[in-house]
Amino acid sequence: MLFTKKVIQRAMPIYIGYLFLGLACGILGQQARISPLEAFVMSILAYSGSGQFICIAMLMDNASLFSILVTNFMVSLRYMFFSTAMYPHIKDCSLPYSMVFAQNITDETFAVNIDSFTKDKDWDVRQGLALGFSPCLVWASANFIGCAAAAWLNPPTELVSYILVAMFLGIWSGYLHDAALLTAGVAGGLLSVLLSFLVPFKLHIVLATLIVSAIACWLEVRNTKNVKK
Amino acid sequence: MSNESIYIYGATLMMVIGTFSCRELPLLLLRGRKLPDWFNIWLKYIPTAIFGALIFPDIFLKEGALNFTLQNYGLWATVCAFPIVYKTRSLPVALVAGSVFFCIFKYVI
Repeated sequence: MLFTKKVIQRAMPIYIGYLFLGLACGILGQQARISPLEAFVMSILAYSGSGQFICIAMLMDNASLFSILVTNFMVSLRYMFFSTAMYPHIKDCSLPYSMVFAQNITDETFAVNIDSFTKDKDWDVRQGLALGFSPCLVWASANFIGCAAAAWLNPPTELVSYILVAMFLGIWSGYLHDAALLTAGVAGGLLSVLLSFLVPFKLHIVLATLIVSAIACWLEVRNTKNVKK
Repeated sequence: MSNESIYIYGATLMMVIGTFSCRELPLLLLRGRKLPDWFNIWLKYIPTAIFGALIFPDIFLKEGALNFTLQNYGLWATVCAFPIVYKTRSLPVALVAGSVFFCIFKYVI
């Protein structure tokens, strides 16, 4: 791992973003009865922004560990795409090194790293790892501080749980690029409400997501084939 | 360790398995080969479906039952905030607009 001025310059927007998101995540986590230490450990090991927000929502709901696992796996599937795209740049490292590198891929560190690898000849895996790992420390520390501060500030629970919904709304809006995506989101939502009456252990979130995304994928694949014909 | 703590560390373990497998499988199994086309299409629909599936039950249900009364502040706050959030597609705007509308419905109306 190599810390250079360039790494810090390029990672600065990520540090700032993770600082505020991490504080928010810590505050919300405290409402799910997570301790500052637990928030820190979770942030270091999982290092997944939206994954952690979703986990907190499910902890507040007393969801089963199995449904937390499956939901988290589904939100993390996008990392498969990132790791695949990063592979050409890290394939010459040892396997343990490339695995550590991959573990520090998030939406933001991936974007900045892939941009640096393509545009900057002097950019290497050691700087890349520093860029991936240093925001993790900011994220985990901010989680710790947010969680500790919330225990002390004692914010109104009802508002804080709604802020989590507002946060999901904000993240969701970033994915709504066309009518098909909006329809899939609304369909997922309605099906999730319906399934919540029928299935136990909070599995409605996973089931609704699986069913709707599979149908949407099937429809799009079928349409593309028809266009080709 | 308390039961609460075991539950939270259990959830952390689940998160680690979920994120770790997704990040490492392409290195170990795919060895850089391209993911199939259908996988990329499927991937495109997962986030929107998952956030819809998380948000809707949170706002429509209260204590497990559909609730369309004015006392369901979250529902009406979301209805009012959504057009603004959709237009700006910004996380900070979502947080501010959502919280402001929530407080209006809770404390003013």
